[in-house]
Amino acid sequence: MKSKINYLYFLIIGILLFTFPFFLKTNQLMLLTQMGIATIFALSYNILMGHTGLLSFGHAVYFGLGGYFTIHAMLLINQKSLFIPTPFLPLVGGFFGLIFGLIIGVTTTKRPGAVFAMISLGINELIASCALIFNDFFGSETGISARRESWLFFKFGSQVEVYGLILFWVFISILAMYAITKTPLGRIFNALRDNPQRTQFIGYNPITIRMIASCFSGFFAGLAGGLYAINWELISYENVGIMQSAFVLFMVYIGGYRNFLGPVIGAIFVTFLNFYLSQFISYWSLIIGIVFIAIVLYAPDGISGLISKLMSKKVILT
Amino acid sequence: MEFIIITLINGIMYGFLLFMLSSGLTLIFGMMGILNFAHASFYMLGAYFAFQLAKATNFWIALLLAPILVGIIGGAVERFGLRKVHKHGHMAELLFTFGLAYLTVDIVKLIWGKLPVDYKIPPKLDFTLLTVFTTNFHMYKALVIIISILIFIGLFLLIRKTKIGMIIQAALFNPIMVNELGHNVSIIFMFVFAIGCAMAGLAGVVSGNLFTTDPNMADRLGLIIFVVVIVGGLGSLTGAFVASLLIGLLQTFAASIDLSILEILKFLPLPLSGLNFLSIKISQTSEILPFILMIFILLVRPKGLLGTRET
Repeated sequence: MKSKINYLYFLIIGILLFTFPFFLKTNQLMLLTQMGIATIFALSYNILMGHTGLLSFGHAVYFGLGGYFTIHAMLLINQKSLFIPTPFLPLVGGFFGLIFGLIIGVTTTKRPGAVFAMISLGINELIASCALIFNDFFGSETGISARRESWLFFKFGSQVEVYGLILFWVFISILAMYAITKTPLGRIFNALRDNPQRTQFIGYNPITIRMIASCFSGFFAGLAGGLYAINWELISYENVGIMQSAFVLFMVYIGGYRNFLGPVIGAIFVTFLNFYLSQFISYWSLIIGIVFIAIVLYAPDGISGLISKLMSKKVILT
Repeated sequence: MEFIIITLINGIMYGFLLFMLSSGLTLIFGMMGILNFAHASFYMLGAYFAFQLAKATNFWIALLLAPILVGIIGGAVERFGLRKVHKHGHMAELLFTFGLAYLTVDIVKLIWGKLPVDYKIPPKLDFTLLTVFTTNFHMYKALVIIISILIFIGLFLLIRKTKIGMIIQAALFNPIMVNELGHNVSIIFMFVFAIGCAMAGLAGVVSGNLFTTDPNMADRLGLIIFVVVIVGGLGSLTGAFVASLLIGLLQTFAASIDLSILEILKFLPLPLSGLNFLSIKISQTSEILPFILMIFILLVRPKGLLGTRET
């Protein structure tokens, strides 16, 4: 019953967000689009971190590669040698994210914990270094750019249309990822996080489960990367870099990884800071770092943990 | 021949530097189970402190004081940071050190700026020690090698011959038991962490002027030392030593070969015409070789070369 109410909330917020373009400036729409992309990215990261208990330092790989493949698909479409309607382009990113989730998963998912963290970081660095070497695919330091093509009566020329497209995918993704947490598979992810030994006893292979989690996570991260490519019409080596991985980690942890909506809060918070602080303060990333350290030290459940603590206190008081 | 000898010496020097960093990292991991992502940050701090101290006084004082300062900071980080997050579990510890690494870069940028600082080899040491064929070998590099060997011997004696070393070795295996036997394990943890950081700082002092001292130096080396620790086997000092030399030589040799993969494969009867990506130079791949080695080791021998346990 409760989950039905949750879905209803999603629907209401969704309809509200679709009306935003009528009274917001392009600048603010840009911010909202970035928040949407960050939200999918953060939620995909949380499939690993929050749900399966795997701390990854290399999530930008899926995001960046998803973006790169999407951009290449867009280039092919520009040359008329491939036809995919623009609204379905993010699926290209998602597909390749899934493929890489599978390939990279083979090496990373053997063991959890610190080893997983370290290997994911190593692989991220490997790909990031490759991005500066293989210029044909990664387009050296300037990155690769392509054009959005129009589809039916959508031109995808203005920010409003892009906003609509991204919002659509944001909601599909959030619903899908929320639904996954409610399936038996999602429960097994949690079981593996809480007690790997017992999960193994009841007949599940931890490596397979981590692999599935890695694939799902890779898919949605690739989708987010695809949306990024569509939004900016550009992707560069920074998007596969360690910094990108660090940011998604900060988003999820600052927002709170124990709550499904925590990463959403974190993504909105960090993107907001990024958008406004970077205009005024050149050392805005220092502030994010300090916030992150403070959260690690004093509020390991993040902002969503703080909120739920406040809410429960209020319940006791009244 | 000349090329091989010079590259060998450079590779060994680089390997020793890597070992100075990775030994601390592997000791800390072996004892506390903490993967210190901020380890290379201490290396960077060492270089910057040495720059500041060398400007105020001279290089020798910097060489002595900067590692001690870094060690004190390291001890403080363990005492007031890591011990605090320890109760939140391993994930929090990892995240804490990761956040610290991130923060250090920003703080360094804030204090010393984004551009490389002018940290130079002291002029008294900047002379040619000997000439190998036609290439000059500098005194300073010899000094770096000597310091590394001294540190290595010192570390070996500390761990194998002293009582503290015995306790450290025991704590590597079973910290809880050592604590039960009446040794103050948390003090030892702090001590090991501080020593590890001081060694990283020392590596920064001696290599900051050999390479460049800029805010990216931690990122450049930080991941390589992780690879060293994985390849050598987590928690194994000898493994770290072997892997440091291996990766040091591998990277140095790769960086000095100015041929492309295509040119080498040309001698083999393979159909290579369409493979444009093979035209990259071997020297360009020196950045990614350690990571390829790491993935290979993980697939073939997940424990690492000399590791004894699965983690």
